[in-house]
Amino acid sequence: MPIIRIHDLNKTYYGASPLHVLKGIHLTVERGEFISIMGASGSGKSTLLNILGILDNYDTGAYFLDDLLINNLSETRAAELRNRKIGFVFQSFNLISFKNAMENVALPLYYQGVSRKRRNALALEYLDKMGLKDHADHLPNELSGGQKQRVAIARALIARPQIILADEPTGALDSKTSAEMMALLREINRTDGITMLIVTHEPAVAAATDRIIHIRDGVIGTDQRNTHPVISL
Amino acid sequence: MFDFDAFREIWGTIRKNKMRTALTGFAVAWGIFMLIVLLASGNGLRNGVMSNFSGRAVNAVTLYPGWTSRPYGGMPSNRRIRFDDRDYDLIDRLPEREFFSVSIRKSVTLSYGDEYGNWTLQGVAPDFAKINQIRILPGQGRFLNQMDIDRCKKVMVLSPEAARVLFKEEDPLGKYVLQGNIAYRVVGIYDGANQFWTTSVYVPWTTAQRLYKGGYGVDQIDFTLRQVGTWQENEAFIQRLREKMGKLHTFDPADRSALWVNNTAGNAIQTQQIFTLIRLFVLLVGIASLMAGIVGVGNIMLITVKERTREIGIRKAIGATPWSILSLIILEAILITTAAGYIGIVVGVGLTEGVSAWMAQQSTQNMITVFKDPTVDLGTVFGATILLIISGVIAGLVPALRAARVRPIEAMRAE
Repeated sequence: MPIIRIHDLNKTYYGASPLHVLKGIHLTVERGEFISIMGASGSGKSTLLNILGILDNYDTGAYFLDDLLINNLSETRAAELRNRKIGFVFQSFNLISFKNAMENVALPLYYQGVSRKRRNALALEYLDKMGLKDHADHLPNELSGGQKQRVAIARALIARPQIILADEPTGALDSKTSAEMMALLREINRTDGITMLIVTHEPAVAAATDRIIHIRDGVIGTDQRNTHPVISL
Repeated sequence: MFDFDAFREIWGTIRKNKMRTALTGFAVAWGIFMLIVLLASGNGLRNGVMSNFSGRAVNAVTLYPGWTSRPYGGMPSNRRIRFDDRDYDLIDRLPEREFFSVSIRKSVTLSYGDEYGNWTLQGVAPDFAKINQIRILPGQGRFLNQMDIDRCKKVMVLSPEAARVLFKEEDPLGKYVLQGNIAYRVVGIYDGANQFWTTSVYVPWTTAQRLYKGGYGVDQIDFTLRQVGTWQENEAFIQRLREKMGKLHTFDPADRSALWVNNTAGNAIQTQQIFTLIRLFVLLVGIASLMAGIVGVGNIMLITVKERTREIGIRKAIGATPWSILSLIILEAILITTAAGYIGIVVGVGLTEGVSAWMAQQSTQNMITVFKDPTVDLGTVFGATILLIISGVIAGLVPALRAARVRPIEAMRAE
């Protein structure tokens, strides 16, 4: 059973001049896939990511996440689904600057109502997995870019989501750290079976994934299998 | 959502954003502090003016008997009018009157030991003190009471000047002052601070009537009216009074010289207008400073929410509901403004009470002040603080609602 089913998705931004961004997207993603979405800026890939992450609505078509139709949900319901099913990793890390690494990782569990003691213990466990246990009480500005991104990944993982949406996760990292990051995401994908969707414009990042989807001008251009993924950044 | 964990989350944001917290708190505390100081200053002005001019706010009427200037009702012109018990009863039964006293005046020489001097001996009723704002300070005895009147006691209330001349350093209370061969026991010395004339000494009017007027008639009638009213009402009342007195003594109500009426309605109306103006001024000061506080708090809330847009976006992306975002911001605002408001109250009330106590210590008996007791009513202060907190929350609510609705991706792009 596919985790994501998208049928004829359309999205128009109504501004001064209406902008038809997504013009009928069809996409099916199976559980445990490791996918990259590529496209030039303005191609609509960010819009697609927002809709996939239930951060934005679409106009026509249908989007099923884990067999649940995502359409015109209330903000509260959308927040709950984001919290339970989706983990986000961003280019600019988006850690809360005044919270230390552990508190940042534990935050999704706060919104699930998990007790402070338990969520902090769990956060430490996930930081340990990322090799950052010693940095649990460091503030984000005391961490390197790679460390920040690993904290962000730990935060994305802690609620045990079914998919992780990563928006240019290596965009702010040097090539060595980028390679480590891709290896880490690959490992999480393999061991935990979490579906991984990575939006990128770097061919090298896309080359490390199993399936590469190109978006051109609001529709899916090519959708190819990558039988020999290699991490060479 | 309002569980202990939510408060801990808010406490965390407050503690780790010390600058923001301090600025917001300072704005609120300063607003409350200034509100208290300004309100207290307004109140001080009002209290000062009222304590000086409260006597003027009363509509006091004084009646003197005169001579008729025209024949009326078969009675000739140039007839002398005298006040007697019928006048006493007439005024006593007026529904409009509040305090009431008759007066008997006599210029006398008083002596104690080798000291003597001339004063006006005035036989009055206990209400005379209320009509003329005669006060007796603690430790200075008492004014005349009803028992003195009923029993025609030979007791006297001295003026401060008479006490000084006759007794020097001695305590006059309980001592006997001689008027001719009559001995009066001194029961009190009145405070001269707010008295224009301090040449009178007071004795019971019944005593004075028996000793100096052969037990018949009074020289003057004083009374105050319950309400000041307007000019027209006042004129109508005086007209009615003239008619009643005219009927009693058979003189023409239009005969001005038969009955002299002196009343302070003009002063009273004017003074009450001044009081109303001052009250309005204090109210205006309060409202203006409250509004300044509201604008300040609202502004800080606006900036705070703006500054937190990115944080709000992150929280939303990882599963914060709009309500949890809203409650985070609002509860934090309430917490900070309440704590800071309390500090503002403590400092403001402390300062105003301190100044008030200091001024009370500095003021001497004879000092006339336009500024007195600059304090505020605690109920008003707490009411204003709650209003400030509520308006701060409302001011924060608008940007908070917008923040709760904002698309996380856009919020996270904001730097």
